[in-house]
Amino acid sequence: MGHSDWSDAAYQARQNHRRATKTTAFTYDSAVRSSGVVKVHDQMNPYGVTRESRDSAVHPESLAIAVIFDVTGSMGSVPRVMQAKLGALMRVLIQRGYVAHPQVLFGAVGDATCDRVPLQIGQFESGLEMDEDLGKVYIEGGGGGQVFESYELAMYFMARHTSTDCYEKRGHKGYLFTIGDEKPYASVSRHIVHEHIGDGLERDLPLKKLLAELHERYEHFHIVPTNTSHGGDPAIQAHWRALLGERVLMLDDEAAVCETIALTIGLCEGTLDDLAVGAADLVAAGCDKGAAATAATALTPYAAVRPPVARAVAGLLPAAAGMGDAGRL
Amino acid sequence: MTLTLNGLIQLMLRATEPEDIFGELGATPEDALRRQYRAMVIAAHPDHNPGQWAAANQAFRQLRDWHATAQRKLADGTYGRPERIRAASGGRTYVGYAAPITGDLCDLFPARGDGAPALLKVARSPRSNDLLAAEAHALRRLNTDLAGQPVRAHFPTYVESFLLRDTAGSQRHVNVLRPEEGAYSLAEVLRAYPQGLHPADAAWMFNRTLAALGTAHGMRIVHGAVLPSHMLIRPSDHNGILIDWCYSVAVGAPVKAISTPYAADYPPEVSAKQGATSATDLYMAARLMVRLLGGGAEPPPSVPKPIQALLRACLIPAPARRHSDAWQVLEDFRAILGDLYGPPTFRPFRMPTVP
Repeated sequence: MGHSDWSDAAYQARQNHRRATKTTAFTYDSAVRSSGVVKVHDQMNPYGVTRESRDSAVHPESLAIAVIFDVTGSMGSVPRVMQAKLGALMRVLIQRGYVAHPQVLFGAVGDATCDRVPLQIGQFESGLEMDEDLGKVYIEGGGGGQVFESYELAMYFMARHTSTDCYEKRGHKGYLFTIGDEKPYASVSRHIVHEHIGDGLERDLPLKKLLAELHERYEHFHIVPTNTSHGGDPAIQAHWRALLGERVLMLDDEAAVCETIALTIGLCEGTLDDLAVGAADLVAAGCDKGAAATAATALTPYAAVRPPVARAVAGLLPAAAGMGDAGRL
Repeated sequence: MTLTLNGLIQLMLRATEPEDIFGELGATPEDALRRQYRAMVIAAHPDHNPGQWAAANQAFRQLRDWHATAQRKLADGTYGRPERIRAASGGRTYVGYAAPITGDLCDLFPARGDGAPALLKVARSPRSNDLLAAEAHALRRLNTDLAGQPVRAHFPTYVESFLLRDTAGSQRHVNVLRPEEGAYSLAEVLRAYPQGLHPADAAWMFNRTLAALGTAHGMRIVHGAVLPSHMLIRPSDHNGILIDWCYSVAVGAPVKAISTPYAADYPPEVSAKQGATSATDLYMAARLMVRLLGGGAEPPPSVPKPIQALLRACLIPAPARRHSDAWQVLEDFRAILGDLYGPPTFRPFRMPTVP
């Protein structure tokens, strides 16, 4: 997966075509709604699969970036924002030198205890296919009265059903952004995992354990849009904080999701050490000034506590004779 | 073939090292360098290059700098030796010529940077980058929080970290440390004294280990690998330095990796991936002390009974029942030594000279 190139021109051409023909980017969602048959798109189905982010000749140093959003209730606007701003996100990541070869996976979560399509997971894609994956998302839009969504199911998938060259070959963690205004369940239910992913677990997996496993391979951030139905709820914010600390990003406006992701990656990659500079980068890449400022505000607490990043320096180093990681527990 | 000004300029443009300009210098390198330099100075002399006065002058200045670099490398004994490692970080450039020392997870390249000796500790696999980052994190804290305190002497000096790409394309984490002059690891001591040490010699080494651990534990850091190769001692001042913080974790977090040659020296909670605590380090410190005293799994019978009892209390398999306060163990141990041998005196310790 992920062998084509992100072409800004191709994305723009497709967007212009959509506008001219008045078609929506979310073709699958429209199809489901008009046909009334609710099921996950075949290519977004997480059952029995592993998603891979691989290096290729064109992308020798792929970096896995997963963006998984809550598609229930008021959060349904996030994929639309993502779709509209995808171009700017990729422009900033690549052209500002934050990441040379991003491979982006999109996914969506609902509530596994009541939604029909609780988990949708696309492929890691470098090119225009990532825009296509967004098109295959079914936007649940339902959302019950409860304040839980099955984020833990998505995290489980990322921890156990993805394979990334950035980590396996280079020890470089990928990125996972979960976006939503509700709480994850306290553990991964073995029944739900069996039903939707196909794994047979002996017992339910506590969320804390799962997170420890996930964070070995991914820099994980959770974005809480604070202007949505539950996002402003201090209990929900506290719940996420207890799990992820400063890696919970409070975003005043969900329209700034792409900008927030770009800045976070810039910070973690060490290519950006000043949020103000990052915000200026975003504006230069065509983002809205307000959205860039909102994103910078959301990241300020994290930037303050972020451990210093080891910079890459130039030099000469022979290849290692052996791997020498036999002592890993 | 005589060198022309143009030829010299081309030569210097392509050069990255003085060897590229002056070449091999043979058995009497100082003389050979002098001859080479003189011939080149003539080629670059304005008198020999009428009409190219500015170019000749510039070439001469560059040649003079290259010559100075060549002389410096000759004096260092590094002229013509291939570089093993080079890293340009900020304003500093580290260069090392010696073969690396091979550790469990890392290669240690002796190098120099900014005129001072440095050790470049490089993760052998990018998969160990997280462990090197853990070491950098622990040492940064220990160095800053303990600055100016006597206990600071029990920890290595951390300079900086960066990622360096190797020729195979892997990004590998590098920690730059200061080498500890005149120090031996307890692994070396054990090789020199396979029958074990006199308890009074082993005593100060154990004391230093406990002081380092007590300090780190006070900062909620578990070392996670208190092994013979990770404890350095300096016979001249009886200092002890606890090195290799790659395995360190915050109190309560499980240790992520072990040193496989010493797999038998770890307490059970490590392989069970349970949270490591101060008791984890004390178990390993006691195991190390048993080895220093000439024992294997148990302290040898020749060791005074109170010392045996103290060590056994640190070697209880269940971490909750084991000693967990390094300062308390140190205090108890000092009291036992006082009863056995009277007030402490400086007992010179010599390492046999390597032939």
